[in-house]
Amino acid sequence: MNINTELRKLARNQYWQALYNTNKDNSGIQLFKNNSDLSSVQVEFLQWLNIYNILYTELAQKESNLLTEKVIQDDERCNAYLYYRKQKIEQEWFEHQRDKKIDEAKAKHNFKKEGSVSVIDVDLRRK
Amino acid sequence: MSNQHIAEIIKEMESDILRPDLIQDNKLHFSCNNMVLRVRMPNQLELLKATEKKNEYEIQLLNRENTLTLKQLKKTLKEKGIDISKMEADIIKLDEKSLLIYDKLVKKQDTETEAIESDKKELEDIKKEKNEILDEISKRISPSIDIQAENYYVSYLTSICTEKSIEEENNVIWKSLWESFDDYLKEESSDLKFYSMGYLTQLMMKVK
Repeated sequence: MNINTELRKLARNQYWQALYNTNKDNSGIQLFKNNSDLSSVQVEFLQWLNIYNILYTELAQKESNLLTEKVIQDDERCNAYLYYRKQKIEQEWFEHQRDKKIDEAKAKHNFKKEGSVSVIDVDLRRK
Repeated sequence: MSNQHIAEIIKEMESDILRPDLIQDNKLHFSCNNMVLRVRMPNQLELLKATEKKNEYEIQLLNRENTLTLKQLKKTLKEKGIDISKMEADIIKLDEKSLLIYDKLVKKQDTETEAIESDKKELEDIKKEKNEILDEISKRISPSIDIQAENYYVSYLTSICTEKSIEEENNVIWKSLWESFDDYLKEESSDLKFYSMGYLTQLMMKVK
């Protein structure tokens, strides 16, 4: 038995997703018999519950044409999608930081005057 | 109905079976040698005791002749042509190879079943290769003091956290499988030790 596979199967199940959604509003519904001393297995399950919750929300909102119900149900395809999603978020963050730096540099050097030329350093490397 | 057909039906049924018992509490249930068993999370006092035991054992090993720390063993192995660092680097390379396949796989539509299966087969092969290297590393470094002490730590916790179910007056009660650590060490069934230790490791891996 592969525990990780079993936990993912359980985490994407409608029953647990519904419980998780209700619990997000601090409804006080208890997920486990124990409230403290969570085992590694329980912690991993909570992580997967959260991941599948995000994926089901994105699926409902049609955020990406690469995400389908079949992708969510298949562990390897789901891993591939999560990797793609991580890269996309990192790329968006990088672009956002770059635009912010350019805007800051523009504001600092007051580029409003037409025809004026200035040299500025903007570090566009990924960090 | 052929045997193959029955096997397919069973496989399909198994894929639908959920295992809420895995997460219902901080214990893992399993069966071995016709016994129903469970491993539970150790408490803080037990963890402290296990660390003390581990430290004592580590010092014993350090004072013993012909023992090597992990660092020394890796150096000795390298001199004999077994490069653990290279094996670790190979694992990172395999992980990177998996990511390239993920790049291909993510773009596949649901209808491209054959192409999806082919990518998944490649991923499976990489996983097998990775596991072989991991097994090799684990086998090679196991004689080191560090790994032996770590095993001692987990063995000690296994001896106190494994419980068997006993029926008493129509009630199921859980009792320690081994009375003491010495009983655990004397246990002849390697299966029992192996499964108990495996499940306990799963249970507390990231929490430790």
